[in-house]
Amino acid sequence: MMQALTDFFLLAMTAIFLENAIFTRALGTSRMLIAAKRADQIFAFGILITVITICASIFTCVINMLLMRYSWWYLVEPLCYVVCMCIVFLIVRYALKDFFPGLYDKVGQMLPLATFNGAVLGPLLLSGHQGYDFWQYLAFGLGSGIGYTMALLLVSEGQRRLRRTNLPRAFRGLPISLLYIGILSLGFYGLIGHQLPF
Amino acid sequence: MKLERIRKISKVRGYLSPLFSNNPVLIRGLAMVPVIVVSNTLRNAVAISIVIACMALPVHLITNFFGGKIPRWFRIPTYVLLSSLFFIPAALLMNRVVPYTVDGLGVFLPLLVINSMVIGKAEEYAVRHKLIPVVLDALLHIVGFALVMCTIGLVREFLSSATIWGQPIEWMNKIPAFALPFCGFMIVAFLAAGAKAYRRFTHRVLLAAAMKDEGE
Repeated sequence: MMQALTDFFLLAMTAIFLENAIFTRALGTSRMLIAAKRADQIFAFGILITVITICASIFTCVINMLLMRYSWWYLVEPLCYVVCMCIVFLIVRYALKDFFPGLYDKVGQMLPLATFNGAVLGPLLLSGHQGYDFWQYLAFGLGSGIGYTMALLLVSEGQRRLRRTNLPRAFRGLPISLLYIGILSLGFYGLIGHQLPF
Repeated sequence: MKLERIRKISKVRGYLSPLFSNNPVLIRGLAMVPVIVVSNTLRNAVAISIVIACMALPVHLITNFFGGKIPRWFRIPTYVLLSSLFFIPAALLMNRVVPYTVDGLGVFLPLLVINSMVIGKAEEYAVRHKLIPVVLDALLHIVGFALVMCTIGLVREFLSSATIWGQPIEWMNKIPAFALPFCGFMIVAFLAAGAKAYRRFTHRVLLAAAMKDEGE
């Protein structure tokens, strides 16, 4: 029991730090660069992503175990995973609308963006490709969501400080944000020491 | 330069803007994920461009026809479902044109179904405009994306493994770091800065010409 718990949290910590969604694989980068700027919005977005990844892992784990042995799996894999994400999206939407209407008014707008995001689909696909079992799926999903939230906070704080500095005009906005994430990504690569598997 | 000619040039520049001055990757920040990570060889870049082209055009066309009839809260899930349906023929075509790239692309091939250039552009443009502008806009965005992707793929493959399309080139020592994601971030950052500088430069040239003509 203790060993299982240790393995669970070890995989979650690996997903947060060593296999961070943004800094090692650039998952969910497009949305992030245009997304929420305030800390409370980022927390809400991150919590949504974590919950949706964990819920979708339950369905995708079963589908992956049934279908991954077929040669045509790489063609229908996105469709099956997207159907699972749609089911989770509908469950979360109706659950929020019926039981927490105040919360739905605040986070309802970001629900589609949070569900159909590289930071949700990426960990599901990675867990499938690496052949994880059910608890490893959940651990990786949990860690990935937390890691994405932390990376979002880091990047938004970095962007806030960069906006106050005197940069060349060509670098203001998107270019300097990418350079900043690239340097952080270099730091993470120094921590890991090798290229992570796709 | 006459004012009418400047207006025509501005109009053409506006239509062709997704190629350089309003490039979807470098200026707007769409579709970053494949450009940063899997543009490490030219084969991968061409494969991703083919898949995006075969997904974006049909999704935008169908969105243009039926998008307005879908309830707003379910539009993004619909676009993602459509793009994952069109992913199947796109991946088969990619396998025909550029074989043996599926394993090299890993998870980034199926991740293209939630690509912001396909989904985001469908919601932002394809739903609200007429058919011909939507088709032209989609084609120009695909070409703009493919230009950036293949340029970065060529440079990164050449510098990281001294090959072009898998053929070795005798040039200099390899720098394997160029195949890693952090170099992808930095290369895209510098190219984005270049695109922004180009956009400012052309805008200032046209503005100066227009003001000079008005002054005359």
